[in-house]
Amino acid sequence: MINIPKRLQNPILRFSAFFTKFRQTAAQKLFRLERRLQGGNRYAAQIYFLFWSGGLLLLWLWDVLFLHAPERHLLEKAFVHSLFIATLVVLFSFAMAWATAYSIEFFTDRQKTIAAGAILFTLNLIRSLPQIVGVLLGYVWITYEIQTGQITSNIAIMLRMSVFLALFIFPEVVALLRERIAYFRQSDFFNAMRVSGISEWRIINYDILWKNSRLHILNKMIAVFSAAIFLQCSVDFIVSVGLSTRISAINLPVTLGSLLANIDSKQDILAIGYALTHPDYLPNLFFRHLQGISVALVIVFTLFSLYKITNALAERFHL
Amino acid sequence: MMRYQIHIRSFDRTLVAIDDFQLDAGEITVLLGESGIGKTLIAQAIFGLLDAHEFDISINGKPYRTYLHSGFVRRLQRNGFFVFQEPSTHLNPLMTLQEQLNEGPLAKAANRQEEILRILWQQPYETHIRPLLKVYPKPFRPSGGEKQRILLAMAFKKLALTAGSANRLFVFDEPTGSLDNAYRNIFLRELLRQYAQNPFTILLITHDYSMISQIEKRHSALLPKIHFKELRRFKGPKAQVFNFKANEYTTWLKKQRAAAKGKHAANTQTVLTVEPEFKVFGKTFFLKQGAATGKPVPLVLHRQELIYLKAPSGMGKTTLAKIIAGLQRPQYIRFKLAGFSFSETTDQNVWRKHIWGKKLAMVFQHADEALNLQARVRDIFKGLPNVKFRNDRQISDVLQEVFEWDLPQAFLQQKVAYLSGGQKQRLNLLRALVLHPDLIILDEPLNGLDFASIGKVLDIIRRKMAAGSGILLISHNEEIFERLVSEENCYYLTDKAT
Amino acid sequence: MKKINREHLGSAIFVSLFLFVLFCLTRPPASSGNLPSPAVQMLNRIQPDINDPFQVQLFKDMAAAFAGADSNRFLTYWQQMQQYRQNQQQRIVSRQKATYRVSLGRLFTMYLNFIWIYLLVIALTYYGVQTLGTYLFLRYKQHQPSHAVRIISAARRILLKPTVKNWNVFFALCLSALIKTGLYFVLFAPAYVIAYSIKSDFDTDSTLFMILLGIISNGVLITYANKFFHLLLTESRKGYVRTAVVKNLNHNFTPGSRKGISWRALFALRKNFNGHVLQHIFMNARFQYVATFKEQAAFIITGLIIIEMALNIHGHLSYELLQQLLYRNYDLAILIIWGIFLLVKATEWATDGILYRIKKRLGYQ
Repeated sequence: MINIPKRLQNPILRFSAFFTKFRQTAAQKLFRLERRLQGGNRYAAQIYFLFWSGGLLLLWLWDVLFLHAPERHLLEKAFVHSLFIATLVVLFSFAMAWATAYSIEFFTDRQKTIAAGAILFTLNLIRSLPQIVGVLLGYVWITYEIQTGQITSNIAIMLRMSVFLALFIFPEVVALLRERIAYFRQSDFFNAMRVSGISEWRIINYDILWKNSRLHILNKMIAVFSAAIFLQCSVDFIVSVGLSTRISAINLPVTLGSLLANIDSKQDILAIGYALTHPDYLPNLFFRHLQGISVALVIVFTLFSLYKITNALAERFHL
Repeated sequence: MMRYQIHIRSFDRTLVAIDDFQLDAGEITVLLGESGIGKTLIAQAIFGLLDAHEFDISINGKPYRTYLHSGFVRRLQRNGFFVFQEPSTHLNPLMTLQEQLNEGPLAKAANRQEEILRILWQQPYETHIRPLLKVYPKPFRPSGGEKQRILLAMAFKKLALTAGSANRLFVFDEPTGSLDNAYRNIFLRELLRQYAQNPFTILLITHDYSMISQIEKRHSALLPKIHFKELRRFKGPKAQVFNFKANEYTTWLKKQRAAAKGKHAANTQTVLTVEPEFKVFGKTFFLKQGAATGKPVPLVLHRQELIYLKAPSGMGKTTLAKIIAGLQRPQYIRFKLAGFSFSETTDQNVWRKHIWGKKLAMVFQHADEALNLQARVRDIFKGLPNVKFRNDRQISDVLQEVFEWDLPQAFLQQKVAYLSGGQKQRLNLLRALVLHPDLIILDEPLNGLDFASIGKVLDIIRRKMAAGSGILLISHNEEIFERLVSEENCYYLTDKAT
Repeated sequence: MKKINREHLGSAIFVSLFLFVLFCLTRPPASSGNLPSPAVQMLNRIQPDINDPFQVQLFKDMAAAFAGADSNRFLTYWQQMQQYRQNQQQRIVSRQKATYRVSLGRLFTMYLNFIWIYLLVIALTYYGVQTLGTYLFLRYKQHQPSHAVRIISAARRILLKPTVKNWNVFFALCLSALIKTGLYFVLFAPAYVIAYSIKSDFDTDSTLFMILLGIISNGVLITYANKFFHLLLTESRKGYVRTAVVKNLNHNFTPGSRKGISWRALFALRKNFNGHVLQHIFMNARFQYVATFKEQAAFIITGLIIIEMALNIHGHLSYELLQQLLYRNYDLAILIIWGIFLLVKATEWATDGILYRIKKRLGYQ
């Protein structure tokens, strides 16, 4: 039995009571959080979006503390460029898809089968070429334009990259829009409105696509954004890595893919494998090999988070 | 007596709240009520078919998971059966009908199959039924009626298997929705015969009020065992079961008379003339007056007139309506509508420019499909030609035509998806009526309505007719419409020339 | 089927003709073998710098030795020398390009190798997608709380009762969450990230590694397994499933249990869940999945091309494509693209053919 002096007994008791109360309050709060999370996946998409943003913010803060400023600025630039290109891809692919889908419906309704057939034929051709090959050929064209001085600014280059990426991604969006329109055409929905004199323009654009399909479209746009990031990083990596020393590099704007292909980043990635076989080396990954690790983490974490967001939306709204 | 207090909630609203739902064990409950009120949900909840994770359900104050794990529900499911409405979606499109009829425990009643199918089809088994069993269910083959009969056959097989067992609950949810009256009567006869031999609990959900007269006429001996009940909403989502007196319907029916022709009847301007013969999907069809026998005659509809087009289920009444409305291209037809002549080669632009929303309006049978469920009530009239509402007051005035009660402002803001089946059907009707067209085609206008709403809709039809429109009506509610429409205005669609 | 054949054949012929024309246009011309006159060859050895007056005078003196007093010939010699130098440089570049040109036979061998790898990856992905998708569906049907909820629950139990057992449970859950996250990151990581991570410890140029990467990386497996899971989920909500339930078919979805779905049934090559409601759901989901197979095939080809290019796997088709593009041997690049296009087209054709046969059996055609 420990003899606690009287003058200390009260503080100890007070602290003990405080600690018990703290534990109980914390347990109650956790219980409420648990019930809220258990209540369903209503806010899962928002939570994953916050998870993504929060994760990137944390990574940036870590880099502010432990990554050299020039490397960090390069990483920030690459991230902004990649995001900018991906956003443009989303806008371009939606615009192209909407125009294509509506044209097909318009020509089919008016029995102009040749016009509709020509558009479908072109779409099938684009779909038959693997996206990576198509985008690569697009980069060959961009390279030619840069070499001949037709385009010089980074914005113009990024715009062209977005167009080529969108060209090989938009057929998926067309498929979604056509599927939604076909779904409503199958039922009495389309005919009931047509017969009431409502224009097909309004039925397709407002009643079907806006009122009944905007969640599907939003979900697809997030998937397109993800595909754009993936393709863009892959092509930039390939173009950067595949260059021989005898041929000079074209100065494309720095993106996550090209930064990953950078020799320093590759060394950093190699360190991951080393850390797997030499676990004591693991802490070094977070301090010494930050550039490559950060780039790889941003790419993989973004793709993972976007997948979770689209999944959550699909489950929540039964898409 | 099985008594239930049932509450079913989705994540954002209450779907069903009923404090006292009773099923007389070993007796027959016929549950009536408008569509969308919760009859199917209640039946599925009792039978243990709802997903406890998708809805927040309590039965008799206990969580649904507890109810599902009870021995009572397991026995109900083991010894009972549930025939679902919408037979098209309740058959697996990748298995033949034969495979589905003999799956699981039903295989043990394979020896009863032929007898049951012969009763339901009333046709020779080898030539008419056996070939059908090899078919994979598709949208158009077998027909809706045939699919419905396959589901009923499954129920009768289960009945044969469980003869003598306790806790037998058989639920029939709109079992006659796709059946002609003839086949409906055959089903009723067989069901009640099986019941008379070996009583079990039956819950029969239907909108078909004419079943009441059939039961009264042919099965009056069983009337003490049959309880007619109607489910009605009385406080928001709360519903209550009321006893429905069969004579309430039969008395009302007897009072119905053919609609009098309007005061301008002498001014018999022809709205629609259809030649007696037309061809679609490779088959030729004929229009006859009054009955399926006789010579084919042209269908002629005047203003302020109502023509009732009858035919067996799946014959092509809706197809003809779609052809007239320019939504289906036939192989051959000739007809005149509001001064325009049409044939199979007429370009759809003619309808687009001159007919749709101007001379013709069509009310489709399924309000859930015909209306934009994601739109608000006030948005239903947007985009209609020649219909412009300046403010909500004007919309309310128009809605009053079909709703007849003071509409709160909130009603206009309500999403169409959250209206009851009857409200949706009335809104569906109203969208056609505000156009004031020369011709209104009504395809199953009483679909999904409760008894009170049926009367209101019939009044609206009469008013519209008197106001000058010609109405072409398609409905399987022959019992009601044969009273309202004179014989000379009844046409028959058939595939036989003589 | 005739319509399908017409469409695919039409587009194959159209594209093949177009690429053939491009191929002919981009073939390199035969280099001229004509050598200039001995005088020009000799003068070229000086390689005079026109900014150096001494070298210019030297050139003039030498040119005079050949041309005599005719100063006009000095200019001619100069021009011929310039032309000769240009031709030499072009020959150097052509020889460089020629070094990076492969024979058609070698290209064909690479193409066959690519097809063989592609077919293997397709087959394994087809199996993996359905198995993983079905497993995800069965897990979903158990309605277990998520890892986050279980960790929070374990943390709460520690706060209320900090026993060793509760701490063990908490740490075990955190560890499994970490492993799951790690697995997800591997499945989502682009192939080159995984390959470069372990390049120093494993032979990342091997065909086996390439096949493994092709299946698990680039998000192929997880994306399509997820799609298949959603197809199963959608089908499970349809009416015919309820009919199967009321027919008293087994509807216990516990994986690995005798009363539910056995592991054997789940991992079987030809999945069969007879007597279970899952059989209805699975067969319909698989039918929908076959219809979307074209998209998956294109994605897999994209993945394989990325792997070969990004990892610089010598002797493989896609790496060769990149090299030919970089060295501007566009004719060979077009030939490779044509081969890839035909492979995608063949997959689309085969998928449409299979779908046609299924629909014919069901009576839709």
